[in-house]
Amino acid sequence: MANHPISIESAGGEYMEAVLVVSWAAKPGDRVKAGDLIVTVETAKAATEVEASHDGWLTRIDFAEGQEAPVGAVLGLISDTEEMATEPIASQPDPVSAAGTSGLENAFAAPVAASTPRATDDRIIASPLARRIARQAGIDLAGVTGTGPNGRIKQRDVARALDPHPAPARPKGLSSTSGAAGIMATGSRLIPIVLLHGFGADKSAWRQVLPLLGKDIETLALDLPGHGSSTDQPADSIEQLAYWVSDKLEAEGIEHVHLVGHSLGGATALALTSLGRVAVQSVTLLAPAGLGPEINGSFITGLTRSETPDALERWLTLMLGENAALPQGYAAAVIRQIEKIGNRGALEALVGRLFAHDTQAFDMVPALKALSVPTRIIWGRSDRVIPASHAARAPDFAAVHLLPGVGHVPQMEAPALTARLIMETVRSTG
Amino acid sequence: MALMRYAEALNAALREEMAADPSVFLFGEDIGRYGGVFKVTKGLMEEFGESRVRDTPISEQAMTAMAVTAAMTGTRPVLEIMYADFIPLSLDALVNQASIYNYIWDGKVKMPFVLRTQGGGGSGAGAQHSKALDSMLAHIPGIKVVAPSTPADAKGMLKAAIRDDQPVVFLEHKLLYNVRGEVPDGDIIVPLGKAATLREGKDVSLFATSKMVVEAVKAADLLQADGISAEVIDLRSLRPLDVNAIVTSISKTHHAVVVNEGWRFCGYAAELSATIMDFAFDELDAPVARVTLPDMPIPYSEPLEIAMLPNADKIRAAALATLK
Repeated sequence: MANHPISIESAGGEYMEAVLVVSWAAKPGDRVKAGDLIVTVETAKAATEVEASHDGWLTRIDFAEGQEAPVGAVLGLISDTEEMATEPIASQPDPVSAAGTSGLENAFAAPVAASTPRATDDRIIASPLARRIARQAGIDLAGVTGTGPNGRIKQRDVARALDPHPAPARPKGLSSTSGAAGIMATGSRLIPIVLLHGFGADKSAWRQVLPLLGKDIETLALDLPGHGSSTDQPADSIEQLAYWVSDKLEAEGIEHVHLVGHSLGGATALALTSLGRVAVQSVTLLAPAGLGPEINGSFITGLTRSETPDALERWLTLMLGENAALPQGYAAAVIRQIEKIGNRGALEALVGRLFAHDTQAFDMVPALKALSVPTRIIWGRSDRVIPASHAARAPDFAAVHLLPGVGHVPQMEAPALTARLIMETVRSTG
Repeated sequence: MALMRYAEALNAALREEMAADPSVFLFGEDIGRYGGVFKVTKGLMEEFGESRVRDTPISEQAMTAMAVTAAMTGTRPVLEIMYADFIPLSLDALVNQASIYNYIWDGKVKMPFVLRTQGGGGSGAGAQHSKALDSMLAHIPGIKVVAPSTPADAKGMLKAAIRDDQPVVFLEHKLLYNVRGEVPDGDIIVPLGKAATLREGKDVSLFATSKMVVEAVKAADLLQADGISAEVIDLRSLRPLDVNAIVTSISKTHHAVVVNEGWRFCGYAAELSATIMDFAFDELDAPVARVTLPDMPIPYSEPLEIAMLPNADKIRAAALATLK
């Protein structure tokens, strides 16, 4: 049921504070038509006739004839349906006396009924978090049903709209189910989504995205050599990384894959498609490396050389869009991981080979252009590690999504949208 | 590590700081010969003598002005105000002297004093001996206000407060003095302005200080039985406030309950709520819930007093409401 408030804005001049309700032309329950005279009010200058703004029923009168109403106040309601509105709001508490200026009676006064459902307009009531997630995922909240108090749309409602058939029990973090060689697998469908993380990261980079992917699909998040729990030495080149991944997939008996790669993992995914050892069904790239020469070299060296969480945090923050903050403890966890593996030297050597002199020493554009499967590229417009302008080198057949306010890690900064786009790529293969 | 009561941990902090720094001295009502009504200063007059542990007459106004001038002239006084209810008598020295000299004399004057006091209800002490007036104190720029909840923090933060060159109001709670806890041995300092995560959770964040932390932890246990995972953040310091810890927790749970034993209107819970909206609005999935004392004096009747005070049940109810 939609309601349309009857009000008179700045009646009779800007210095007016109130109008006098002279007469109502309809009584509650009456059918009204847009343009009908509905109420006459007296302003400083003259009597003013207020017309019905919509077809419907006059369901409520808040200011009776002879009463003064503040300018801007709701005088009454027109509803789309005949159902009568309940509580009139004529007796709104005076906010000054409700503030408890003095006296015991104020101390015991019931709080202002701010939780009364706002039936007076069509404003969507949603939590700030729900609004943010919907904005990032490109969802119109008008189509989402709220299950919170007063029908407020909460995070869970947006999550349901994003994935109407959630699995009853999603994996709780990756480490608990990690298998041999840092391979994480969930789900049961035949062709898995293989996710390749970026330089210096590990498979936990997909922690936010994995639970949002469809329940009926298998996912494999790999730890690239020299990263995470993978004890293998870092590779010498992108091709070697690709060979390593294809070996792992072969060992798992996997012949068909959907590839998702972030940054260095994106370049690796493209190299993997050129090898021809696995049948790639679709490719989703997040801020992939290899599409242009520029890269933020100080970020890469800062990442490998920082020895304290505080120092590392300064560099890691560059992964995110402006004004974004890392989760607490994130930098400390990364440092612990690096120290546990003892691969700092190996990572520095890899940097020397792949990213010397602030330059990406490899070109993946030919591999990208040679693709014959559904291809999607996701890039944060505020990427401070690899410029989003590299997305312009994408071939015409690739879908390109440039996300405002997002930095180098869409999977962390906009997980819902990233998951949705991955699934759209996967499903587009039929 | 040693098992200690909260009052004993404070006593140890005072003893260690007095032994380490001869400019540290104590004064207050009944703190010397009697050892303090809550026994925090027990044995210190015997150990350090009457010139460093001084009994004073009842005059909070004079005592606080004395702390200000003693601090300005090169000592590190630790003043005890027996009941926080009488802090209003100290306010002129705090608002018009201690908090501003640093600014108006261009940083040339240090103000290294600690005002220890205890507040809070739950002991049937009536309207004039049960209040938590931390909001009033945290309102003053230029003064640090801290309120530890555990014996370990009581010791580490009191030592930090004594060494701080700014005035520090150190809030204790009459119902915490007998709480036992492990206290690390040696010269352990807990920095002022850092919150502590006492319980990790993913559904809702409970923010509290002092005795309310104990209630929040109990509430987290109750919520666990409800199938809800509550994170408990002991803010420890009201000012400076660890905003990062608050934002980090809310970014995880998206639901916040702020707890303060003081009055609701213009209270510290309102400040926390506004801070959350300033820094984490887009993380909120529900309005911030406040659990506070109602805006009334605390009654002498103990059943009525207990009914008024914030407690674990009320925190649990607020958490459940935000999760609806």
